[in-house]
Amino acid sequence: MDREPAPTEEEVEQARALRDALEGRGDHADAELARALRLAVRPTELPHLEHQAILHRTLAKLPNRRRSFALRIAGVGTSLALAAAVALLVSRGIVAAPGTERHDTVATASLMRSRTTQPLFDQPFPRQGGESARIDRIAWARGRDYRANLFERMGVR
Amino acid sequence: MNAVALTIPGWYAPFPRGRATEMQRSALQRAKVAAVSSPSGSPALDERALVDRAKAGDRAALGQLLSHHGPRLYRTVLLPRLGDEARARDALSATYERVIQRLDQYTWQPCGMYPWLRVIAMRIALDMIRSGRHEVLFEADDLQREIDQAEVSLGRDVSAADQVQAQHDLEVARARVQDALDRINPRYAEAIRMRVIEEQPREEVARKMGVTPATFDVLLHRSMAALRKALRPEASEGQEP
Repeated sequence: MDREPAPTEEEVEQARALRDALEGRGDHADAELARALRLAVRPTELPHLEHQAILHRTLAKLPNRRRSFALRIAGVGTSLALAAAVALLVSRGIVAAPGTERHDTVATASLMRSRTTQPLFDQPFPRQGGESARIDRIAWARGRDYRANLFERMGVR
Repeated sequence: MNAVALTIPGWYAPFPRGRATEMQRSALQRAKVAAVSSPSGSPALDERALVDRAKAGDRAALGQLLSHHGPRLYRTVLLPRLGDEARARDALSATYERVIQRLDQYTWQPCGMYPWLRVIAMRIALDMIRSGRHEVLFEADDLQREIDQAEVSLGRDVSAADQVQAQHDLEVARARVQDALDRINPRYAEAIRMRVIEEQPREEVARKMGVTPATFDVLLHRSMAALRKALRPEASEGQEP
């Protein structure tokens, strides 16, 4: 290195660090630049398997047309099944068709109708306490109405 | 300063200084003509069918298109500009994601799909260069200029065959390295060429340069510092003694 000025201690230290980084031991900013140089001049091929992995990861995010088709078919099938079930219930007279009235007016008239819970309680409520008891009372009354309606419809009463 | 006679096979044809651009242009033109007149360079019909199917939601067709063009994008566009394998792989993945997002906006061009993919890849690389603090050869402005040129020719440059564009991208990267090496001390350029680019063993390069390995380490360190200055526009006087 006749034509070169004598290196400073810092230069020697940096030179060692660069040498180590180029040989795969440690990092050095110039080693990063060296890699960029090499890859600009002699770019390497992307290994086939790595490319396939990248491709599959990306394509997995794409909505699958076949899956969409299958979902549409499933949706249509479910709708048809639901419509058939409703038609069956209507034909058996369990549910009234929209815009029609059931013929068993006697049974309909005797069914319990939705109503306020006010008659179940003395007004006014106390400011605090008694909530659970009131809810139990409502639940018991509703349960009784439900059972009465169920038995009425089944013709067991 | 005289250029170092770099005769690295396969990576740089040593054009005489001052005529490089003209010669590169004519070489590129010849390559374009050859590629366009070559039957193997016109898979446009198949590709167009694949593009139509991909736009209709056919995942397999899109996979075929990306399998065909992806490795070339990685090797000629992303890797030389980002200078790192891991970042180039991330960029390729991001490119694919953007392709999926924007495929419905793509309209078929006679030059094929590659120029469109190339612009997307360059935009991804530009974003990464802007957001990162890594050592790269290309600055954001360089890449922006490339993108502008690519977008101008997009859709009207029928002769821009894929291989030609890929070759052009490689030449741009190599020319940038060569230009930087031309601007530093020839001895420094020689050290970088042998040790960094050709990856010759340290001891062998030291022997060829007539110094001890330890002295070569210092020489290479100074060489890289000089190159770093030469790569930055503000360091136009980056000549080393």
